[in-house]
Amino acid sequence: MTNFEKQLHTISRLISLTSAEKGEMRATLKRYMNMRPINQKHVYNTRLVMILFRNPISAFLVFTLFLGSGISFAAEGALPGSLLYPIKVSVNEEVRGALTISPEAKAQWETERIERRLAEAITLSVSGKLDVKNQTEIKTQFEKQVEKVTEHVGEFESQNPELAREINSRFEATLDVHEEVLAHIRSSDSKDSNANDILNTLREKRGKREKREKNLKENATTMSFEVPVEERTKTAAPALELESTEVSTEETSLTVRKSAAERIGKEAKSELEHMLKFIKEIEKGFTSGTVEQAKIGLKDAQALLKDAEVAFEMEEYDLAFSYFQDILNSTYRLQVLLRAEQKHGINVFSETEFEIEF
Amino acid sequence: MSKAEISTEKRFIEAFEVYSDALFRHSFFRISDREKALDLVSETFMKTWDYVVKGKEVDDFRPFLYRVLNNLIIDEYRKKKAVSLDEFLEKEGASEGDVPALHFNPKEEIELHLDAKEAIKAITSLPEKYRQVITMRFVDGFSPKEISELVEESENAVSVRIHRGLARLRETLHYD
Repeated sequence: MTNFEKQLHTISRLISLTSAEKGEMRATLKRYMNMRPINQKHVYNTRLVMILFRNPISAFLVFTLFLGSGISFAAEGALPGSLLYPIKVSVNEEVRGALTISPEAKAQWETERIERRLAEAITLSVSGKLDVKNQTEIKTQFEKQVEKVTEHVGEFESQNPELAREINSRFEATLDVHEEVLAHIRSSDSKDSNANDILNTLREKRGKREKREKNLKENATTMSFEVPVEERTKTAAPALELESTEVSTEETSLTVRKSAAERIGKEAKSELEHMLKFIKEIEKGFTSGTVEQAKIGLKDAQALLKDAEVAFEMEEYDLAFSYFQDILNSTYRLQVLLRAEQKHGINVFSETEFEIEF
Repeated sequence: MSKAEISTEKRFIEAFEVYSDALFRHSFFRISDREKALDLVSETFMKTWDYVVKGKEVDDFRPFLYRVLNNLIIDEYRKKKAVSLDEFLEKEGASEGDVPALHFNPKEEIELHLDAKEAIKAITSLPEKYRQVITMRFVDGFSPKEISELVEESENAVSVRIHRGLARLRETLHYD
């Protein structure tokens, strides 16, 4: 190779996937692989397939998804107003929902669908395409999915109040951060945004959500004492092995809450570590202001992690749980804001202080 | 899942980890659109997975993935341009405004005589028939023989095109 050719090769190395892009691509690919495993007939639960195929509409949906996966996959990126959008929400997402069994998994999936709707609203809003028709479409889907989350959470709330609280909190964080981004777009003079209707819907939900969070928080404490020992240990902490069947209800409650705090604590630590690494890697792709704000947010989260660990050591499991939950929500918020800047050039950090509510 | 299936799945995931960056780079230089390049690489892996799911063997994922990506890029040109492919191949490539913001890899420490941004713009602005082989040769590091197998043309034709493409680049970048 001549020197010129070597230089071309070296320069080409400057183009690479960001770790966020690679991570997103990996996640999409894994979802796709799960949907289409090798030797499908052995992987899919035959009973479930039978149930699905009993209903002609379900059969059509399954056929469309697996036999027409090209269209199905293409539809994944569709936005309201496009021809493929109905396939995305009424075929892909419904079939995926049908393949989840437990109410916990269903509630988590419906929360993810809400995130998808709000992300679509942001994309359309940025490009000035969030017209009345598209807003109505998103709003209708959104309302439906909010109802489903509430319904599914209600199904396991009494048996597993900690998880109900966790899902509800994530659901709130989803609404809050997307509301923040949409409000930012609306306030920006340079963007032609029509997000009012969706913003109003989000704000209407706020009051109801605050009340619900309060109830769930209370439930998580009181239910721990009320629900029978067998039921609690069966649903909330399946891995838990009690040494004696004569353990008092109060002790069991403490063990269950400890186990819930431990589980969410692990999740929070891993998310925080992931974000710290991520910020280091993406430093050059973002404005210095954004990186600084993100670092401040992460520093707060690290401080809160220490508090959470102290609370855990002192057996204040409810408090530790709340702190871990706050860490998870703040790292999630950070991810959404960074994505908004990376994908749409929306710098919400410039006008908001990043902080965790104590 | 049988051992063979687990091994195929493992090899496929490894192929993603090893080749996704290179495929993205290839796609970016060919299509001059970061978002579209990302989509095409994703689609490349999905299509390859579809092939594997059917029980077909892939001995070496690298050439296979490049072949799938190359086909997708050609399809993309066909969709993008109402004109015929031949006409498009003769047409000049991307305009200045099509070169997106670059995401530099901080690990790279290089000393260059060429302006990196200008060089990237020059490659992505080559007519497609040169851009394809220049990308494969200098971005992906394929030999002329390997390129000839991928694009299904003679090695001689590929070498001539590489030579001409390089001459254009030298001229654009005023490199003596």
